[in-house]
Amino acid sequence: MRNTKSSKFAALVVGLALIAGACSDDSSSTDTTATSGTTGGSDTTVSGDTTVATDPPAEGGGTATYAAEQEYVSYNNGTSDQNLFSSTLVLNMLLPGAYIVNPDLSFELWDEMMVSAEVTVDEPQTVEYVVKPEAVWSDGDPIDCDDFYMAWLANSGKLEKPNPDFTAAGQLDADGNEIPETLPVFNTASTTGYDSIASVECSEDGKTITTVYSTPYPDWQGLFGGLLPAHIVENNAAVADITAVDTEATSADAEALGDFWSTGFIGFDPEITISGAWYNIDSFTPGQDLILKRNEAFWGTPGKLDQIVFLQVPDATQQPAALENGDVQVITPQPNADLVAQVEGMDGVSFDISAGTTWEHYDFNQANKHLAKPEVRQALALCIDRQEIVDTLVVPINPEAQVLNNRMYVPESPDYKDNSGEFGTRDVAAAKALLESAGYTMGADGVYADADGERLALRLGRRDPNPRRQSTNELFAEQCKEAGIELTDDPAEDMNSTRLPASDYDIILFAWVATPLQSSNTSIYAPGGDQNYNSINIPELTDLFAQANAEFDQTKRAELMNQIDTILWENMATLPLFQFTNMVAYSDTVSNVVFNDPIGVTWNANEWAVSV
Amino acid sequence: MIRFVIRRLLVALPLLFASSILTFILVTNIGVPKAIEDAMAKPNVQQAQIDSLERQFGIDKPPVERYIKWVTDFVKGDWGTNQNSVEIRPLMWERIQVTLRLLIAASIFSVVLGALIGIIGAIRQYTAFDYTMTFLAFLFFSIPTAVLAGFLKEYGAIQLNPWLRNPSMSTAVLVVLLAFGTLCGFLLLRNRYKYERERPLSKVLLGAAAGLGVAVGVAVIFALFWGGNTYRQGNPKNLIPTVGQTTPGFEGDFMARMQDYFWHMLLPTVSLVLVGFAGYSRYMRASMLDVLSSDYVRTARAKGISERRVTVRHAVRNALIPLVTVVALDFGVLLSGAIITETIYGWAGMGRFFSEALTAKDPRSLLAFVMVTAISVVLFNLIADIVYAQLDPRIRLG
Repeated sequence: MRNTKSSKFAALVVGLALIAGACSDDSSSTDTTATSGTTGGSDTTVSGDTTVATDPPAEGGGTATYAAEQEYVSYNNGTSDQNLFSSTLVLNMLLPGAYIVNPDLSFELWDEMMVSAEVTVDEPQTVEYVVKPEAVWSDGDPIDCDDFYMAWLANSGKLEKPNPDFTAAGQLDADGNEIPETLPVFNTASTTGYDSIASVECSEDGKTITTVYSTPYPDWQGLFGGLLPAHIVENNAAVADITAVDTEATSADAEALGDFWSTGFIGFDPEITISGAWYNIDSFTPGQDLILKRNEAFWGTPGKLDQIVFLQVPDATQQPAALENGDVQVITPQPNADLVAQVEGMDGVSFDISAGTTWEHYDFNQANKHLAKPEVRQALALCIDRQEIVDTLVVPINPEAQVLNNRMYVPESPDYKDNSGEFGTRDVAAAKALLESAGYTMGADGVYADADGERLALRLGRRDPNPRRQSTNELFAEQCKEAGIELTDDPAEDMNSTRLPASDYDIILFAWVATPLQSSNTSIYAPGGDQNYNSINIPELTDLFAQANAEFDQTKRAELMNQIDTILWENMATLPLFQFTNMVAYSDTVSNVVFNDPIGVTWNANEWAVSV
Repeated sequence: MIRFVIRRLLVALPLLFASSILTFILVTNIGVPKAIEDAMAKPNVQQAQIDSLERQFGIDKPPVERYIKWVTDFVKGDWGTNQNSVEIRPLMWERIQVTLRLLIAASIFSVVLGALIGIIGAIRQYTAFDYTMTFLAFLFFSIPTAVLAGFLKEYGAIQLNPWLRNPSMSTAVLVVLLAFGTLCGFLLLRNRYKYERERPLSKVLLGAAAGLGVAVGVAVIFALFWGGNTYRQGNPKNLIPTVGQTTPGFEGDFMARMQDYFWHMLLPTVSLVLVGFAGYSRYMRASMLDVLSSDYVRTARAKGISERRVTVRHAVRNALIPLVTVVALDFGVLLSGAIITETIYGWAGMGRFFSEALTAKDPRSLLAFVMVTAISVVLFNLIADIVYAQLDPRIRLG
């Protein structure tokens, strides 16, 4: 090579520049003082000629685009195979329901459609819904008792049909599960609540619906949301009236209805995917976008925007760039330090960071020899420093993050109470004292051993790969080393899907999604519950849960649930840590964007307004 | 040759079988489909729901039975439904069309650009142009696609769009650009090669200026007319988008739609071309150097043929032959899409189909994808062999 000196020098300079670029780390934004920040001034100066037809006016009208990571799949979001959050985001604007879930997990009556919904008789529980006379679907059919009736019939799981795969009793399938003799006619995701309803009665005009329960169900407000049009199912199944179908035995009519309900609502069909709320689906290009346009037949307050577009941006790390470029106006990525820093640095963009309803926790498997002793579990709760974990892992993203001290409620809910008592703060000396009182002696290697000489060494199970959970486990292990307990990280890809239900773990780190339905806690903590993987056996809980699940007074119910939570703290069955963090970033031209963890940021998209 | 083709196709059948079995084994062992995992994470999940999901994915049966069922369905044309209960075959066909739209343009540009740079680099070996091009080729080849895409989005879209609305250039920048352009042209065109006819300096400078003028003119027209034309509905603010294949709900005549496709294709194509041209330019350069030092080229020169004719008529054509093989093989893998690029730019192509299927751990989608790619690779391998045999008389098939 000739002229080598200059080219060598140039190569060196570029090489160093690349290395320097890779090594620089400006991610630690520890000086964020506000969780909700408006960054910089807006520089949306429109200059030059615009030959665009839709110029958004100052009040009402216009288009807002939301970056959807996954796309809408099915109009019927209640089936077991298409139960997807991505569909919920779209259906929030389409389907009518009795109650809406607010961001703080409280229920609110949807007064656009409902006149009232109340418990008229306590025993047997009877709830009466009154629908406004002007409520209609976009094709003109009124929203009435038919739709409520179908919701009950489909989700109650009453009707069954023979399973074609069934050969003989006791036959096992590939996974070792017994092949059931019958399959449900309506392939619903969950029958909880609906299976407590004995009957649904309609008034003359169909606008008053009376539901009678066979067993009390205090979470009744969570039912009859996301109603599907019964007349569509009737027409496509060639059944005249769904309310006349036999509910005791499966008839051909019922099977036809069930078939269509379970499989006929996938995708988009303007005849089928009609609207009973503010917007209607105008077009759906799979893999690309879905466009909602105003529902002209909506009887209530119309949505402010003309059009809402769901643009599919599958890589969440690319959503900030799309937001900055103006390709989308609202994004909800999973926040991490780099992403937050990136969004903070953008002009014309605001963002909100909040704690969500998914919460992380450690579970102690009481089938394990050591963990069967309550002193060991309590010692673990005393030697862990949850505040340090939150400060290290969560606060960099959400400065207002706090340690979670309740298994039933999140701090955003008014019923939240800190029930942690003496276990709320770290006390290594107390932990050691507890262990010694349980018959453990300190070994030469700094780890306690029990009376049989077995070392107190436990595995911290978690799903793999997950860097934050790995860090959580490492911090826990370090903190409890001081108390003489040896903890080792135990990652597995199938931890949540296989080992958790099989109770194949010592201590496990995973997350539950909090819902407003308090009765769902029963299967986790009550003795013999379906999701009680930890072998928690506290006899008094059976009674307390039974009481709470029959209590209609929300204040008394909260008291009972908090009582259960306090008992669980004393028993130290599980150890709550913190909530996941959520983030919504939006262009300054869009207003009224509020994040809602249970049902998605589009829950109030009818109130979004675009300004020029 | 017919015998050769038939023999190759017959060999391909067991090969496809073997790859389907191997893929099936892999797919069975990657774990439970994500839909089932998500369902189990919710409190209050019921066994009936899990059972129904298992039935949907077909994993409620033992592996051998599943494989046999899959194979018999596959050859009949029933490829099953994916994790969202969408039929795989029509979905895949749509995705293939999108991928072809993106990758054919990118591939053609990469090949042409790579070949040109390789040829000129070989002719002007060890000059500033050669070193620069080698360096740039390796630079773009080594940059991770995500970094390059981020860079392009930032400077090619986010920063460029406001400028395109109101294009203006200060005199200083213009002068610097002109000087830089002339320098490049000069370096490219000047007399370096020892066998070239002497060319006077004035002609070289004129050629450089002319080329530069054309380039600048095109850029100016681009900026002034297309930049200022905000034909895209619903988004009057920016011209070059960072995500998507088309504007949602776009309505317009054929020309407007072509323009819309063009702007959406711009950044992803540039991404792919920058990464792709490196390989081809190195192949071409090496092949060209090899040919230029061969006996028949020396004979041609000795016979008095001008250097330009020797290069263009004799050397280049012979140097292209190995490149044809490489290009044919690369086109074979084209159908598998550019996974990272498509995900980053939000294009619904085959690459994204695969990455979505893998995230959802849907066995049928993954199997269908691998089979389609395998068939494509086998076919293009065959085509590459045939074409190579046609071009090079020294090669005999079979």
